[in-house]
Amino acid sequence: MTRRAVLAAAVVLACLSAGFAPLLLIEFVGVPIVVALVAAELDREGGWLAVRVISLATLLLPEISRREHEDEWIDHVLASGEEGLRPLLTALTIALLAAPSVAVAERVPAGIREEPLGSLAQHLRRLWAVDLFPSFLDLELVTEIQLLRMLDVELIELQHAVRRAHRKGQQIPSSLVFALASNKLSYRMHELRGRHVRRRHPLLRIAGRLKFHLARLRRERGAECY
Amino acid sequence: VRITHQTRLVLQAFLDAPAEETWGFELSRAAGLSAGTIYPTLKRLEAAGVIESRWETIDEAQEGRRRRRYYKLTAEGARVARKAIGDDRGALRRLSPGWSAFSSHLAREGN
Repeated sequence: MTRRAVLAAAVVLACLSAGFAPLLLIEFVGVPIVVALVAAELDREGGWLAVRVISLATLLLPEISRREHEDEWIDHVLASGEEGLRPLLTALTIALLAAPSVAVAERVPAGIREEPLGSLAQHLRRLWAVDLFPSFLDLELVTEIQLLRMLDVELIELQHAVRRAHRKGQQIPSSLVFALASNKLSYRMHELRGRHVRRRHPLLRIAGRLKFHLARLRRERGAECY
Repeated sequence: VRITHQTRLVLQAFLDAPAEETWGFELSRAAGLSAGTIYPTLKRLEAAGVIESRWETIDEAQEGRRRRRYYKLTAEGARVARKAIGDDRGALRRLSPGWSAFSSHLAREGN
């Protein structure tokens, strides 16, 4: 910390002598002070700000249901924390996602709301009914469910198992490969990583190794092996 | 009801304790969804009659918090939810033809 301060002071002095004073003073002194003040303010007033955000967001709703939603959402926000950034972030997700969506649902009659999407939705559903068009989301779910099931019995080094299975000509589940290739599993891994900062989730470990191994297999054998 | 991934997660959370009432915050944690996603989903499910809600009657000043809206699966909703999750599992099985052979291979490898 001290070293940084000395370095910053040295840079500021050097720049002052070189004639760049105002901009660099703002950059090295003004901006950090403002950021620190804003952060402290948010930390102290997070809950209060969150309540204000929710109150503003509910203005989108029809008057008849405004109070109910306000009560429900404020309770949710304050349950997630009364200080700091957490309630504020929760309030923002409600204000940006939930409130507009609920407002449309309440203000626009169902017939009008569903009509333009109806045909598209039906068309997609027809496509979806054919197994040739699986969604990556489903594939991810398959993979996750199966991996978790395997983890329950704590059997394996999946990495070696996949390699051996492949050598013996056994089918490697395409859903596993698709999910890994589509990065959907990586996204899920990212979520898990957030929740298991201190203790690495076993699924993360296995998926990391498996992904590496499958990439190598694909390079060696080309697309036909999947 | 249109069963999206989010709807599926919410229904699964309800099915974990079908007889119990729960509120938005608990549900969002159980389903792993953000506050911004859970409420439109609940609204849609309620409009479709899959769940029902009631307002808690408390003295807000005494309790020191706002009243809560509790949600619960309806009888019809429980049937719909079980069917949706069941269909989903069926679809997943169709999507993963290689898994049973692969799993048994892994089991053999592990032993």
